[in-house]
Amino acid sequence: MIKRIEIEPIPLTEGHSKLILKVDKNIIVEGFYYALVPVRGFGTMLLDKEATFAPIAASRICGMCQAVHSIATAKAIEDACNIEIPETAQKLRELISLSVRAYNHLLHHILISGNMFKNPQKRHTFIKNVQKIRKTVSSILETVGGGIIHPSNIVIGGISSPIETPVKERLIALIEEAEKLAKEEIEIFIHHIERLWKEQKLPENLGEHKLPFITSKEISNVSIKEIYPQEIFNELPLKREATNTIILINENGAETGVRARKIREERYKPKGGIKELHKLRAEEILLSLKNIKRILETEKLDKETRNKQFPTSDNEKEGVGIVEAPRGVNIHKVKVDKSGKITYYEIIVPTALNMIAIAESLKGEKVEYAEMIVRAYDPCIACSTH
Amino acid sequence: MFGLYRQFTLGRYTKAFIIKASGEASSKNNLKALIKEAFRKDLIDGIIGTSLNKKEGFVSPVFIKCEKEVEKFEPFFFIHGGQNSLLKKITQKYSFEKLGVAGHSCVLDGINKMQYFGIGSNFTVTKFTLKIGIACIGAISLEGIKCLLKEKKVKNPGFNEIFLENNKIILKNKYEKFDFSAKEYYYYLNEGCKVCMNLSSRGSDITFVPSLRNGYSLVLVRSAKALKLFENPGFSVKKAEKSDIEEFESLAKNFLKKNIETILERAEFGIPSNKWDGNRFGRFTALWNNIYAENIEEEVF
Amino acid sequence: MIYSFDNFDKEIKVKLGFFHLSSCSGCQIAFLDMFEELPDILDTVEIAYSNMLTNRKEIPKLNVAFIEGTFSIGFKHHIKLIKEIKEKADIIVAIGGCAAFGGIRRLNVGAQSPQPSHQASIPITELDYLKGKIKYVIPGCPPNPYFLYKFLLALLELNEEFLRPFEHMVFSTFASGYDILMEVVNKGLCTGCGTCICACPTKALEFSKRTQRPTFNKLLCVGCGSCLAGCPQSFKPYPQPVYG
Ligand code: SF4
Ligand code: SF4
Ligand code: SF4
Repeated sequence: MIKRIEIEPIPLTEGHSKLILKVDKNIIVEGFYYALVPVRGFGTMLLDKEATFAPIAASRICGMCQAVHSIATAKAIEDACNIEIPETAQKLRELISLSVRAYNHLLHHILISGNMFKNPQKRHTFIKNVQKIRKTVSSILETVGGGIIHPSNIVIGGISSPIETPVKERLIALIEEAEKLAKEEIEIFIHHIERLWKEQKLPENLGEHKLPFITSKEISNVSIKEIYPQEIFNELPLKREATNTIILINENGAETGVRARKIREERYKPKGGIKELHKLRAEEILLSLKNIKRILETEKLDKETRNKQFPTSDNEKEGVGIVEAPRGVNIHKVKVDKSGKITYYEIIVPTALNMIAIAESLKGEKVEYAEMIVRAYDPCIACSTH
Repeated sequence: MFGLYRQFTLGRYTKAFIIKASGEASSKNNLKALIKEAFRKDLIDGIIGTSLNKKEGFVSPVFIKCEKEVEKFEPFFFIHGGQNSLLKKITQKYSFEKLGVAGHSCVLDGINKMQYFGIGSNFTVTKFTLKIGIACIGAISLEGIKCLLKEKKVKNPGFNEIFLENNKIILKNKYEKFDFSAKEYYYYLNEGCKVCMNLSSRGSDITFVPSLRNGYSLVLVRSAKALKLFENPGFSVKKAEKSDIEEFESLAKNFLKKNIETILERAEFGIPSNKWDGNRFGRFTALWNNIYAENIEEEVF
Repeated sequence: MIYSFDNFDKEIKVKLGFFHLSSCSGCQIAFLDMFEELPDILDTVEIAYSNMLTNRKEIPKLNVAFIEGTFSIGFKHHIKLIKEIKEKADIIVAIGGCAAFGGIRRLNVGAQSPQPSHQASIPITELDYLKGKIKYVIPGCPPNPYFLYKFLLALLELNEEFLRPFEHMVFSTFASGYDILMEVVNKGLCTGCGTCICACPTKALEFSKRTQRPTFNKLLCVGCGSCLAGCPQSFKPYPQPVYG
């Protein structure tokens, strides 16, 4: 007999969300995960507003991957208005994205630690360790972006202030320190994940799915379709309760995020399952730090960083800004008219894309693992109810 | 009774000196010497101040990162130039360990407030190690200075220095020197400064008085840290005479009296005066009537 | 004292809860961004509820509930949550521009998929239902970690001098850079110190060298209330820090 189980809220995740599971003999037959934070209306909020406001507003979509939204919106508007941005600005933006990536993954470790440790004292010690690296990473974000949570230096046309050489040197020193700390932290994290799997006798391939993977590199060659909860659910109140839309890629689900990046960039062969996801995410922290260091060491960052051209366009051209966010592909689309006002705005966030991947991962697993599977995807509810 | 006692007008200080830099005698050079000394003694590794940009004719905030840069610094008094607008950049980007500031009392109030509450700043704001307060008789605008000079029928109202001498406010350019009485100057004061009760920058480590008397400027030392500046300094230093202190005190008193008049005038019309709303005005009157009951040092307007 | 904690005892840790209405979670993360200072504080307080940090589905009894984000009118989860918090928490602190003054959520117009009816979002300080329960408001978008740190310390030490301004702020339900123009510049109280510019998280305020005053670009303002709170002419630290 198929039972219906509802789990709400899902602790140790961002925001407020819910799981609806159809269960047969304790095994999930079908599962839906969705957001319960009211739609925040950033898409319509920006309509008929000046384009220069967009990066500031977009940053406030999410308090975790803030800068990524600002960069995506700035890119989209620059694309729509044919504004070329200086190379230095591009590099600085990449730097910011990478720091946001490390910052977010570390944040996820703090959330997940609630699952890893039964003893609060041990969790405390673990968090203390993570905080140390987060501090160094965030000071990079603060230095380059002009703020940790809502960086204000990301503007249309580039970045509002360059990084002088002495500042750069300080950042390199910081990143070297962070690298050392990160190596340790990752080891500890992976060790605890392995321990958790052993202790609770979790299956190695827990949360496996057969979906394809997608990153920002391939996203322009696929069809993207947004579906509403009203289309998926038949019963009330479900269709009026879910506040996120779901994104289909080529009429199918796909997974985006750290695993997809690894596959795309290193031709990695995925084993599947959420344990792998945890490990890859941890490893990516170090990779991001290495990339930040590479940019800092090889690029000149004290040159012109901003093209002050006023953003106007013909109201025809759809500008697209694609950024590889910590959780995957993040897209902002915009049209701007002659007076510099936004006439069309659309946002596609990675968590909306991963909704199907989460649902697929839930299938065939035991009910008690459901929350753990959801957490492994590090869903960001704030983003998905943008 | 409310009295304009020394502790109120000048604030609590431990020592008073007069200092004179080598070279041309001017109060701005004396301040520069003080800042250089702070760099040399490793009390600071960067400092913010307000500098006169002669070319553009603006007063703007500057951030000095090493002793060498002090040379180019053209301190200008009684105009603040939005000094604290630099803070964000400095605290976020440069992350200095030992920051200094040379500013008037309201600039220091801004920083003190930030340190106390933490609004609009990160942890770096705690790294301000040396606060050089500049005694201030009230800010004036560049246009105000121009008008003052025009009143004296100066055809070409250029200037590059402002300081106090002999109970007068002196404006100086390369060739000439003009003096103004407190009364003349007060008229052109910034409205906000006409209600100020902290002319001597009480919330500082050391207060520099931009005065000149035989080439010497008065400084009031408030903290032990600032005392280090006067151990074998690179400028000549003497103990301040009674008359040195009294000269500034009487000028400050003069301004304070006028300010109290303005405050009462505002109060009569129900216009808020700075730093207190209805509630805080209550505190002011309590203080006004109970000067002995409260520790004035702790009560800042 | 204005409030007392139920069963306040030195042995018992002060129980904090973090709640998320319609918001970006930034304010809660700002709390985490206290970094090394956070574990120190955790010695005296306990985070008893936070969807992000605790593995708990039920809300326990709390001493202080920090709420971020706006209340979405007619949204049944918010109604339920607010009722529950009112019952379980001794006092509420509205954290961040959204919860305190509406912040960027004031610009919300709704009409967006998939739930176009979610269109009215108001700060919790506007809810009569919570009058008296909301004790303090913390301005900022997000409030600075250092500010939060100082605030928490003050809350634990019951430092009234520190908390008083934030107690008064409960009565303002809207903030913007116009406050600076209206309350300070327009009243002839601005000295041109530039602190407000530094407090603004969006660069809506900038300093004009020509006029020696802040200029306000309303286009960029997210209504967080930092600027007026930061201006030294609005309220002051009592007593002023002593140096030595
Ligand atoms: S005040 Fe700012 S940081 Fe806090 S929830 Fe609102 S938008 Fe996010
Ligand atoms: S001007 Fe800046 S600090 Fe003031 S309310 Fe607006 S965004 Fe906040
Ligand atoms: S912070 Fe300073 S510049 Fe800004 S309004 Fe207040 S007094 Fe004026």
